[in-house]
Amino acid sequence: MNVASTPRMRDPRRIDIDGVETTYFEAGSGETIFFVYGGHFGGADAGSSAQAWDLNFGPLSSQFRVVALDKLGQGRTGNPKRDEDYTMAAVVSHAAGLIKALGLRDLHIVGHSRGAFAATRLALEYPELTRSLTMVSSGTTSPLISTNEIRLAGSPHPFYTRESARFTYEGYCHDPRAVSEDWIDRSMEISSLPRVPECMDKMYGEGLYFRTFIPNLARLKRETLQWLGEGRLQRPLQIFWGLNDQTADVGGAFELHDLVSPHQRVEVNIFGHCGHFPYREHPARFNQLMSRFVRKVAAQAEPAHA
Amino acid sequence: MPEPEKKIIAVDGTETGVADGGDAAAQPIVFLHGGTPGITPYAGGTHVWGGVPGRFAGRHRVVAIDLLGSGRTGYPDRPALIDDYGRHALATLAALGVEGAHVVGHDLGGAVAFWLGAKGGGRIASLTVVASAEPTPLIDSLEDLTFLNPPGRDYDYEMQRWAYDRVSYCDRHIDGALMAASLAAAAAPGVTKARHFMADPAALPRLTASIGRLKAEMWTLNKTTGWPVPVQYIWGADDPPTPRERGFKLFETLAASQPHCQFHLVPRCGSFVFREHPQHFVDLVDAFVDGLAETPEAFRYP
Repeated sequence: MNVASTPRMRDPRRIDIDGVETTYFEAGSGETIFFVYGGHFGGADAGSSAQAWDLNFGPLSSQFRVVALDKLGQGRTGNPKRDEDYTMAAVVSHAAGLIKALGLRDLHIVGHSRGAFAATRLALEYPELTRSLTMVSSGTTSPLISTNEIRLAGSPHPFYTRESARFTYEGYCHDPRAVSEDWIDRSMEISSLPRVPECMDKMYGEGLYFRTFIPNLARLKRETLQWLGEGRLQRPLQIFWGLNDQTADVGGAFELHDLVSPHQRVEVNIFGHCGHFPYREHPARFNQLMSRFVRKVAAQAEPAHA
Repeated sequence: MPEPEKKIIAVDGTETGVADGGDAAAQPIVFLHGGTPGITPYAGGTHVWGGVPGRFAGRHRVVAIDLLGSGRTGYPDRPALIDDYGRHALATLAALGVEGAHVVGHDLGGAVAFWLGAKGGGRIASLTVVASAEPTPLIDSLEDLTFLNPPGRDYDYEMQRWAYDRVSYCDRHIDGALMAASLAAAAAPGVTKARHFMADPAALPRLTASIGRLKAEMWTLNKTTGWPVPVQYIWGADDPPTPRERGFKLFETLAASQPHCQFHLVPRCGSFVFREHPQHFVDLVDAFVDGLAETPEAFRYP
């Protein structure tokens, strides 16, 4: 494994989920880790996809079954069919549809940033599918305010160029050397798909971002924080965060811990020298902690794993 | 692999209790227990680690040291300063031929670990610091009342059990083996000597001042050449005398100059993380040590 060339996640698989052609990746066997990357359709990082996990997918597949999807309206998955589906709620339903279609259960759901919000909703709405939840750097889920738009403002480069993708990822990461050429390559492959400008036009041209997406997310967030504070998350939770995250303050890790910990165990892991992408900025140490968490939770479910 | 074997060796003329075992050819993990001899109302030593060091014996050389005035180790003819604890621990590692160790320090042992990190050169590969208030920035912090009025007397059962309970989330880990070993340690010559010298009211402020000088050196390294070794911090979420803010501030401080730093909060847990949640503790140490080893050069940002 090397920053300059990381092994690509191979063999994308295709499946129809409620009329949306959906791409996902699957490898390995054993306890199942289900990865939900960050961002949303039409966001600053139009090129984000399941490939965000390429530093984790391979190493963890040697011990576990790993599954990562391209979310609704992102990556090589189709855009929402209806205007009213340009919502986080629809993203969650779509992910749940994939999980059910594949017959997955007892999932260790790992979500990053906005994807951690979707992951949290999956764990809350589908406890029968969930064995544990891992939140990574999620300003969206925390009670604090996210500062992405401030940090990422003022790009001197046109949209959908390598330079603009690099500007965005360097804004997220603590050390620009974490932004590999491979990462940019994969982002460019996605942002050049014809689906992307259609989605951007819906969100910003037709105004669905402020009319539909943001109000829905705000309502869901209010409900989600209320549910977490009531103790409705009834599965083990671990939280990862980067100390130097300029888009989602590390205080969010402690806010979430304090919200949930009166009801259950919450483990917190914070990396120094780390921005918004702990699993890419410190992949070896992230994978080590991830695999031990999954094995520990699995042992609590089935003593044979101990 | 052999379980760590307890023995007594002479280190620069000081009788020193150590437990040494595991794979002699593998990378060592060194355990430095907590408790300030003569001050903390329990008698610390290698025994407080319980079965945890043995959990590493399959893949590492495992060494636990009785620090000065604890367990079976002697004590100088005056109140010991942090430099005495550090020099003694370093000399013990040298006597045992330990190089490139991952050092795990609890409480005062965490301050000794930082002393080794600052002055131990190549003998130290990383630090894991557990619920250790001493090396954290403490200026303007509240008076510590944890051990204000111990019951019992002379490190008897009542006093020591109370002390362990004071810093625990749950008292279930305070078992017969811990109490028997702590009562035996309290009667050992080194511990008795430490109690004698630390009874002088001027002694503790001198130790505190020496730790203050160590911290000044840590902050200076941080601003100049950088903190030299990876550090992870393991804190119990329910550790009343050592609140998480202290550990987090120390983590945040040294992370400015050291790229490999982690901070962990362990739920339902007081100061003795390795006793209250041994599996979680072993996982965190293994994950850090193995993660550092697996980190490719390209990710080793200077």
